[in-house]
Amino acid sequence: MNFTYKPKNPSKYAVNLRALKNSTTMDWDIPSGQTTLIIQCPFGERPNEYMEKICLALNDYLGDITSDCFFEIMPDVKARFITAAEKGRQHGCLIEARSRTYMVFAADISGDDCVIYESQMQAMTPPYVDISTEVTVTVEQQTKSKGFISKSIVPTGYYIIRFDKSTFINYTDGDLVYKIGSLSIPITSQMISLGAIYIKTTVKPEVKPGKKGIRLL
Amino acid sequence: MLGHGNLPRYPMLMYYLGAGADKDAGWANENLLLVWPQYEKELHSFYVPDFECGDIYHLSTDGERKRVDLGEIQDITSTMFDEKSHFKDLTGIQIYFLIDTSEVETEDEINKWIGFINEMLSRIKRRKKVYLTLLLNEDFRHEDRGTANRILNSFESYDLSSINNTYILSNRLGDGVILRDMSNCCRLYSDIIMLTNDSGEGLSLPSGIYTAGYSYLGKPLEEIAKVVVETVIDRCTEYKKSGSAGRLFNDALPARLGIMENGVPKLLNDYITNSVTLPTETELMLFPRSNDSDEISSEMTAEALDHVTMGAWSCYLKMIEKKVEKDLSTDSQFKRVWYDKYKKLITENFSTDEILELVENKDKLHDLYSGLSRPSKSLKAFVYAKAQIGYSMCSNPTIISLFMDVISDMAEDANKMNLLWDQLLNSRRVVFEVDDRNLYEFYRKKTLQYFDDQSGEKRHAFEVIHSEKSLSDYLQATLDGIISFDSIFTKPFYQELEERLEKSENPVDNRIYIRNKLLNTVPYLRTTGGLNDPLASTILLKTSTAIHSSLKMNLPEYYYYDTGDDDKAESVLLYQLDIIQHLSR
Repeated sequence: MNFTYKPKNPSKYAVNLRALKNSTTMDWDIPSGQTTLIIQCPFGERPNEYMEKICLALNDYLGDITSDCFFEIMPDVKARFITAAEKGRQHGCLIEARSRTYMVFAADISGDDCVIYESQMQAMTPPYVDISTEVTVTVEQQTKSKGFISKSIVPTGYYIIRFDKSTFINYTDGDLVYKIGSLSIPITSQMISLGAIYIKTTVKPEVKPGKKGIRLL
Repeated sequence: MLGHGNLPRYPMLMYYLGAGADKDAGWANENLLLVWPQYEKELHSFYVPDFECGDIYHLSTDGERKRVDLGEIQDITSTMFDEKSHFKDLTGIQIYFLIDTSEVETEDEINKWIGFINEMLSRIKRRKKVYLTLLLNEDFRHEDRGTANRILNSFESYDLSSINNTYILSNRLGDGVILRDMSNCCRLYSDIIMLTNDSGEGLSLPSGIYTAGYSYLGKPLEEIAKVVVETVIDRCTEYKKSGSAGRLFNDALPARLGIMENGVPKLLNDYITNSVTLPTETELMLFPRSNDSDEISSEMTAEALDHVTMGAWSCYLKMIEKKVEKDLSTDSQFKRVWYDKYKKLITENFSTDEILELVENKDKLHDLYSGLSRPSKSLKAFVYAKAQIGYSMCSNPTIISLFMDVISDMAEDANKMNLLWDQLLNSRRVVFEVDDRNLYEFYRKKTLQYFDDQSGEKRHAFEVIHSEKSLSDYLQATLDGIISFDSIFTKPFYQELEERLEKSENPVDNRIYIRNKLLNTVPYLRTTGGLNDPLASTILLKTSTAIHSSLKMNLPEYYYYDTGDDDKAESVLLYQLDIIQHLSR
C-alpha cells in the first residue's frame, strides 16, 4: 500500500483524543465515517514531528494493516487503523499500553492508496494524549521482636518494597527502579506479581520511575 | 657549490627592449645569479616594452617590476660606484641592450630603438662599453611576417656607431631547429655577458657584429627523472597486481579487522572493559530477593542469580546495554575518535583492492562483526555479564555500523585511488621512452636496487595507500629515498657521466665524450654564407676539476671561464659576421 502524508484538511480530522482516569479505553472526535490512524510512541513524543518517517515505515510494512490490534512499524512506535464503525462499537479504542503517548490522524484508504492528513493541533482539543501509569509502592524496614521479658523491636537488616498489584497495568521490566546510593536496580514484572521484595540493606531504598510516564502515588 | 667562480669586473646595466622582453630578463638573470649569486642586489635590469610610450620598469631578480624615471635610473647607477660596490673595476661601466623582435613589425622600429639607446647613453658620461643583442624571433608565426629578414637586410642602414659590439642571436638555429622559447638564447646571452664582463683574463674582441655557437652539457635530469618515475610506477604496479585479491576471507581476516579471539572487536572490547562498570560484590548483595532467606553470591551462575533476583540481573544488564548503545551512538566526539582509530587500523592492515573486496562482500563482513554466539547463562554471573554485553553490542546494527561505515567510506577513497592510479598509468603510456639505453638501464637498475634494499617495507607502505594524498606522499618519499639512496644522483655531471659510461656495454672515456659534446656547437643564427672561424672559443664550467684539466690539455686554445657550477658545462664560440656575406637574405 502507498501511504502519503497531506496537509491538514478541515473536513478530514481526528481530534480531542482523551482517556478518563483509570479507564482502559480512549476516545476522540471524527467526522462521520472517518477512518483513523492511531500512532503509539514513547511517552511525551509527538509523532506528527516525524510523520514522513512513519509513512515510509508504513510503506515498508508487510503485515496486515487492517488488523484489530497495534502493530510495530518502527522501533518503539506502533500503529493501528480503526474504522468509524469499529470506533463506534468499542466506544473508542482499548489502551494497549500505558506510559505511552497516542496520537490520532484522519486517514482515507482507497484500494492500494492511503492518505494520512496532518492533525489539527488545537490546545483545547489536542489529537494526542500522554497516558501515564500511576502506581502505588511502599518501602518499609523489616523488623522483629527481641528479648524475652522486655521485648523491643529491632531491624532485621532487610527492607521490604511492597507493590499494590491492582495499580500495575501493562508494566514492563525497568519501568521502576530502586536506588541505594549510586546503584540503580530495576524492578521487574516478576517482582510486581509477587507483591513484595526483600533487600538486604540498612539504607532505605528509594523507588523512582525508570522512564517517563510512570507516576508514584 | 655555486658562486665561487669568476666575477663581474665592471658595474653593469641591462636593458630589455620590446614587448615581452621582461621574460628574457627572467631567463638571463636566472643564469647570471647561478654564477654571481652574491651580486643579486647589484645586477640591475630595466624593461622598456614600448619606445613610443617610453615607460621604463626596474626588474627585481624575483620578477617584480617597478616603474622608474630617468632620475631614479641615475640614482641606481650611482650606487654601483659607491664605496659599498663589489665590482672589481669602477673606472667604467658596461651597458647591455637586448632587443626582442617578437613584437617588432617593421625594420624601421629597430632604428627607433637605436634612437632610444642613444638617448639613454647620452646620460651616462662615464667611460662605457656598450653591447647590443638582437634577439630574432624566427618561429613559423614570425617567419611569415618576414620581419627578421627585413631587419637583417636593413642592417647596413642602422647607425651602430655608439655600440661597441652587436650580437645577433636567433631561435632558428644553424641546423634548422626552431627553439620552443627564448630560454636557451637567453642562457647563451647571459654567458656572453659573463664572458664580456669578466674579472678574470677576459675576452677582448674587436668592435663588430657577432653571432654565437653554443652547446650545453649537463646532467640529463629530465631523462633520469623519466626512467626513475617509470621504474617506480612499474614496481608499484607489480605490488598492486600481486595483492591478496580473492584470498581475503580466510582465518586471519578477523584479526586483521581488529576482532579479538572472543569475537568482539578490540575497540568495543576495550570500551566495555574500561567504561562499563558492573556492581561490586557488596553492591550485588543489594539486589532483591523474594524472601529474606534467599542467598546471593557472585559465585552463582547467571541463571541462578537471575532466578533469585526475579530477573533483576538480566534486566540490569539490559539497562547497561542500552546505556552503552546510547553513549556510543550519540557521543559525536567519541564516535570521531573511534572512527579515526579504526580507520588507522584498516589503513595499516588492508590494501585498496582488499577494502573494495570487503565492501563487495558486505554480508560476509557483517557476519564477522556480529557472528558471536549468545553466551550461556550457565557461566558465572560476572563472566556472563561481560560476554552478554559484548554479544548484545555485536548484534546491534547501530554499533556494527560504526565499523562498517569506516570501511564503506574507505572504499570510496579506494575507488578514487584506483581511478587515479589508472590515470597515472595512462599518462605513463603517452610519455616518450628514453632513447639512451645505457642511461635507461643504469637508472632503472639503481631504482630497483633501492626497492630491493627496503626489504618489503616499500611494498607494505604501498599496499596501505588509500588516498590521493597518501599516494602523493608515498611517491614523494620514494623519490626522495631514491635520491639519497645512491650518491650518483648528487654527483657533478662529469662524475655521473663517468660512472654511467663505465657501466655501458661499450665503456667510453667520459673526458672524450664530454669533449666531443662540447665541440659540437650549433650556431644560433641561420646565415646565408658559411661562418668563418670563431674569433673566440670558450668553455664555461667549474675549473680546478679533473674534467677542466683534461679539456685544457686537449683544447688549449679555448678560454675557460670558471662558473663555480659543477652541474654543467657550456661551450660558446663567437663568430664575427659580415653584413653582406652573412646577413643578406
